[in-house]
Amino acid sequence: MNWLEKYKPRKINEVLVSKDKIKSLKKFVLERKAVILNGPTGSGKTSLVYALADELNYDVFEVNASDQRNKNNINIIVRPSSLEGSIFGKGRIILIDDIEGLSGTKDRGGVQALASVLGESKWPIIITTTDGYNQKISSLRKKSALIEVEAIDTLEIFKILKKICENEEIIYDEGVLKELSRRCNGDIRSAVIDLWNLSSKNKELRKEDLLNLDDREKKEEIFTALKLIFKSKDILNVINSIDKTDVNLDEAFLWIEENLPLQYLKSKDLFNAYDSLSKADVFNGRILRWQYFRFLVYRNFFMTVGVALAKDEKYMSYNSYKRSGKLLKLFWAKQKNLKKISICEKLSEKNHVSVKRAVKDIYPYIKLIYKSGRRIDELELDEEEVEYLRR
Amino acid sequence: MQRIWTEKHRPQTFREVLGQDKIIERVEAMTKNKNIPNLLFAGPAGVGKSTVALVIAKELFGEKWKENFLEMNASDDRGIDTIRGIIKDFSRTRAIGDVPFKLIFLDECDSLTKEAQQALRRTMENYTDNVRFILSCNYSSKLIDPIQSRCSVFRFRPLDKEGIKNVVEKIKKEENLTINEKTIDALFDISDGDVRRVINILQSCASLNKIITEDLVYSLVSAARPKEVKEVLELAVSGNFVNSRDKLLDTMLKHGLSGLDMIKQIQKEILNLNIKDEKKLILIEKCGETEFRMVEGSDEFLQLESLLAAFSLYGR
Repeated sequence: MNWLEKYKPRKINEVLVSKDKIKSLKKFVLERKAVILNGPTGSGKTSLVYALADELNYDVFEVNASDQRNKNNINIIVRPSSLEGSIFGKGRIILIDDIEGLSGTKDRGGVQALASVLGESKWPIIITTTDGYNQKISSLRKKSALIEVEAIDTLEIFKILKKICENEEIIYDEGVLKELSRRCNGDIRSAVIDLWNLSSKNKELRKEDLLNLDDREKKEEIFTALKLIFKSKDILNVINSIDKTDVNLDEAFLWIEENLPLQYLKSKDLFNAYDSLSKADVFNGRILRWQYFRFLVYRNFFMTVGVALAKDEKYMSYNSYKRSGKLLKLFWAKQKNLKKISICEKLSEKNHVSVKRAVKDIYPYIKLIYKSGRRIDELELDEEEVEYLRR
Repeated sequence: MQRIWTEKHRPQTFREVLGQDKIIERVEAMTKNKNIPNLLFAGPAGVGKSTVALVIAKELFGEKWKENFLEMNASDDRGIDTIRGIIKDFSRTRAIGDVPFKLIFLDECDSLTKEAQQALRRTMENYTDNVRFILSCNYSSKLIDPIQSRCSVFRFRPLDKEGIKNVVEKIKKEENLTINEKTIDALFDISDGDVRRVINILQSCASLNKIITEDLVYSLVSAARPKEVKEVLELAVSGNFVNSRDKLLDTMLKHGLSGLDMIKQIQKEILNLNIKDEKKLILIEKCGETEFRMVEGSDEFLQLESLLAAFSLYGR
């Protein structure tokens, strides 16, 4: 059974929202006012509404992101139910779940339509959002009360996870549970999914599982694809190898690029394979430039089949595959160069050139001048920057 | 006060701009009439595009030039939307003084994507009444036709020997330097006709010694240029591909060099490699092909890697 469903709070006292917030929400609902519930993902906004409805014996009429909520649909679906009575004379809460989904092109005019419904509705309307102060819903804010729902405390999440473990008879390490509770950043839903996921194999929760889970599954998939590309010449299998993984084409490209020279040991093979990757990259450039996505076919072809057929004969040895360090290196280089960039921003301003040009054409000479012990007052560099240049 | 020489010696009038006589002639005439169309300055770095734009502004608006002149660089990390926003704010008010328009200088336009260029073109149309644009780029072919067709195009060429010599002589006089003929040859040799580079070299030389010799120039330039390129190629040629590519990436990141910067140096270095001349020819051809693909493609580093693979294949 779906754990999210199974462990969802059903009663109002199970909901992890502070008592006074529940009290004020209840008050607004009874007064049939509109309310915006603002809070981060997984903080229990939707559960709160259902639990409250249960307590009051109300029905919930929910419109969520999976429905199209444009102007028309608001008028056809939401407006009538906000006006008519309920079948068995029960009270009703109209829940607009996750209003963010209502922006953008698909839901054009939806906010305006909803704002006018708010004015007329006979029933309380509750709108949930993670971005309550967004300009786009200002017209709704004017007609509603706003209640802030905070992210759930790590300790509370821990208690829940522990209860679930006990209930499901899962052998667990408290450290792992704590880590799970911490990691989810107050999003109880994702924590429960993670727990469910991790423990589904053997009802046991170990440290290693926690560290490797999503990474490991992805790796296994890409390993299979790489093996096909590097070890076989079976075109039909190779061409689909990346499609079959969860890994996107850009990431797969990095994997192939990183491991190619470790796999193809003959210079001729290496040269041919890189030539193919280079062509794949040219197509990628054209895709980016012209936004012409049919070129993806060719990019995929050159990076898979092209590389596979580049080898003269199959390599028999098995090596494991390495993750690309390129992106990490790029990241660290950026961190290391922050000071340099800040100096070059000053150079760029004084010299009528771009920062990039300053890095390349001016910085090396300025560095030499500073190293020789001189200064250029005009640049207004601070002592730290001078120090950096003189290193 | 110690100043940056490229700014200190930047020409303030048309007459002071060296080595672009024909362009100056035409631009000066337009400026005198206080009526200029949108301009497009195309040409390599350090040949006077920004300088001429600044001079136009100063000549047109005199002391009020700063209020009527907006300078932006399209390659710095600002989206086209930001650029349009700034242009909109700037164009809202009328020009001060007797010139009926304001001036916007947008540098390095070829770094804009096609979509951004389309947006720019619409912006240019919206403000024809009270704004003139001066666009600059390295390669005019990278600009979409509708933009080119809305501008009067000026092609700046790298300075010739005479031009570079005049620049050096001028600075020599104003800064009290000692420079002989041979040193000027050397400066021209390494300049690629780029005045900014020459002046930067002169200033860093002068920070060491007011007497500037050929040797000083060469040693300084090589100090400013990363030495690792040679090592990268030697590793590739000796078949040590993995180390070679690691070193390549490290070098690029350390010095903040782009793929095109690298390939320029690699191409120069090929002739110095200890391999047969016929192989040098093959490698130069591969180099050209790689540069072409780099311009077309998306990942400069990958293209360089593939060039290194050619070095390990043909270099032995």
